[in-house]
Amino acid sequence: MGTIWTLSTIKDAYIIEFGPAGTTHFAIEGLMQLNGEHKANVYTTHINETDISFGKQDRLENAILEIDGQYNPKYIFVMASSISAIIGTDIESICFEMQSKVSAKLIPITTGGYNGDHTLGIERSLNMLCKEVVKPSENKQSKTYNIIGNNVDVFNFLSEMEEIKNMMKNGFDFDPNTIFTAYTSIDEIEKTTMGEINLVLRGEGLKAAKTLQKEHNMDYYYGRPYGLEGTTLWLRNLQEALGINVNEDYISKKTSEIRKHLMSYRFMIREVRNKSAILVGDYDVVIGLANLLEELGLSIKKIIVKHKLCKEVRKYIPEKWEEIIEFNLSERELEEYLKSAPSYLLLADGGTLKLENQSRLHLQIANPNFSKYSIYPYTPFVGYNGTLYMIQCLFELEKSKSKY
Amino acid sequence: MKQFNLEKLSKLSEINKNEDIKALSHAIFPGTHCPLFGVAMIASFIEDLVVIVAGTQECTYYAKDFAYQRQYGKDNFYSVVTNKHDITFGCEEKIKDVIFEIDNTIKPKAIMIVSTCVLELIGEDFVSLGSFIQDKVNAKILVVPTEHFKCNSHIPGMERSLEQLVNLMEKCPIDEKSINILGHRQHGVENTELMKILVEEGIHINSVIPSKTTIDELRFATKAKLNIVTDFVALPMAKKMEEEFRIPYVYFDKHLSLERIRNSYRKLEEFLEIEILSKLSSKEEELMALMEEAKKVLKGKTFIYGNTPMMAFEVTSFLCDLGLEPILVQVRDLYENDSIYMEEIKSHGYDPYISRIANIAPMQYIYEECKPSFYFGHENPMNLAKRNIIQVTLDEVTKKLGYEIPIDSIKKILLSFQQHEEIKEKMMKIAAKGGMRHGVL
Repeated sequence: MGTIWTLSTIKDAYIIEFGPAGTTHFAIEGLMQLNGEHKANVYTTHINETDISFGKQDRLENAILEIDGQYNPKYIFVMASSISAIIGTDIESICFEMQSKVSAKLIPITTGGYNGDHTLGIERSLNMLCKEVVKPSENKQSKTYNIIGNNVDVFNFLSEMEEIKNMMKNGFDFDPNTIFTAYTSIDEIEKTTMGEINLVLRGEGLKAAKTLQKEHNMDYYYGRPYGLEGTTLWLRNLQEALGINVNEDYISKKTSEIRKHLMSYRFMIREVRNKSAILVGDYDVVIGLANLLEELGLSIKKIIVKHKLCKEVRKYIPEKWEEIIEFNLSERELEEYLKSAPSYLLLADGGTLKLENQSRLHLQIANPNFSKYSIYPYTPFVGYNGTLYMIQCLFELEKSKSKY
Repeated sequence: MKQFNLEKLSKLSEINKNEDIKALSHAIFPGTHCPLFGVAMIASFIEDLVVIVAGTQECTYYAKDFAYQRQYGKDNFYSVVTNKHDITFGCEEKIKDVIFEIDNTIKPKAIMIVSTCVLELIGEDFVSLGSFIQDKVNAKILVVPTEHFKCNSHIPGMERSLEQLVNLMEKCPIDEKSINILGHRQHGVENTELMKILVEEGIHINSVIPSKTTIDELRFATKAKLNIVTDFVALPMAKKMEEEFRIPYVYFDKHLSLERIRNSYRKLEEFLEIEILSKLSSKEEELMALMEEAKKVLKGKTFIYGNTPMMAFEVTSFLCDLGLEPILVQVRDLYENDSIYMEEIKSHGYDPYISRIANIAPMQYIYEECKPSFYFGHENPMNLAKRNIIQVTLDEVTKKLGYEIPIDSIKKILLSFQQHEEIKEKMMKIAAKGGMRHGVL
């Protein structure tokens, strides 16, 4: 799932999944629920009982030859599905054997099966792209950066990207080089090394950033900017990493603009007795938004991450959240907790928001998504504008609740 | 080298079994839906039925997501996500624990257990598990396997889940004036020509399965004097009800030919001892007049059949009756009555190519080769407009039953024909401005 989500937004990527057609079909349709656009060419071979019983793989071999002959792609990503992974189809050997028969570079993907949740697929796919597709380059494009970890599974990914671009332009006059992976193309990924620095926006991108550091000597900075303080700190850390001065006028202007609304919000909720907030969603998002909510005068009661945490990120968990953060609760555990924990605000994914809870206000910040239709790319949660937008949302929520 | 061409395919005259139907390519996009999707399509209509989907995180996620959308967030789909340990040592105990827990906490009247590809592959015996546990729980247990590697579409999932619902039924005294509608998956069956005429004759609906029913209503489904099957996916269900409860059925699918519709109405007259055909003579006349009008316009024109809510070969046969010549027909599988429709097509002197459905990518190369006048089904309108192909979609007729199906279909075909130049011009203007996403105008 994570692999398909990561690769589906890459233009000119050719992906063949060796397994029952339904899995691929679901994955393609699932992108719509994420408000994502399908850019890659994803194919299934389908598979039947005979293929399984006799370990036949000619469907896959024929599909590889066909795609190579018809479209002449630079790369073909060859994936095992859960079924082919369980019967022991050796995707790596198939690619090795078929490589001499095709022009495209065959890249085996072996994340199918039962190795982990979707974040593992995302982490490995990002790393695989850096290992297999990124090319060395002689010339750096000055004042450019890459983003690792803006993927289609991130709720609000379109708006988050625009705000990061906006801040990099206003803060450093930098432009984006390659975005992993929503949206990008094979050509853009190949020229990743022309960028000056890699901005890692999610933990699953750290492995890829380390690969680029090791193999192409590229620096990276890991962090996702939320809130006034968090965003300013993010810019200052980048200033250090880049070795150039950040535009202080930009920071001052945005700081004074946000501060007055921060104060208004704090004033509005001054009489709310229980100012606690609960966050449920993807790790980097909930950690960042928890800081933003603290700035707004709310106290963080619990942070619940809805997936396993990749190894690379464990050491980054802020000390102040260690006591209240939990990972990968079952739906029942989650509902039991929400029913027993009265709070002022619940920021969560679309599924969690439907569970019985004792929170007064609710706002969606993560997928799964059931009703949000996102095409307007200027409603971020990250950065300075994200802080303003979040204050606006919370103001509206409070007022609508008071009114009715 | 040219990879995609019609020569790879079998012609209609060469098709005798499912395996004879070839795909246009080895790499398929987007591919068919799986039986799990079929189960979700049926079971999500019944809000008080608890469905447990056991399988990979991916399978359970997508099934739950579909049900969630269908039921506006009040879905009764529960996931049992299996892990490496379950695959190695089996997951029977885990599934039992989940069933006991749901039986104790939610206390549903029925639980449908759905097993998916991986669990079927490792041989987990859900049917035995269901029988074993039935005595230990209050809920009725239904079991539906949904392995996609044994079939080529979502249809078996729909058939099996409908058939399983028969296990919820109990013997009841017959209400001589009531019927069940089986297989109808749209709301508003009472607005169809078929139901309007039956109501006029004092017949009422006992149950519409699955689109308007509950577990309690299913218990009393056997009150009906007759089952009217409006979609072939409910045929196994109707046969099982006939076998177990002696309730006869009439197959009244979304037919297009006047004779078939007339025969279906005639059977209803016999079973229900009512007279309806005489009251539909104006509809018959309207259909005959429209067919004559259509023949004048469509004669000699060609088409590719993509998909409609009706049966592929039946629609193709009907289009042949209207004077159109089929070049390529995309089909899912061969079904019960297909041989009749296939013979009808051949009797017109046509022998079109036959390919597997749900494979859009290679079609772009085939249009150039075939140069059809019409394309029936969903496709990016831009792809068709730029090749001067008239697109016709017949989704609207899904909600119809009776003569209104061919009448509305012909009207839509003629309208699409008349508006083609105008639509094409609009499409080209949109294309010049940067295009549009996949859809239908």
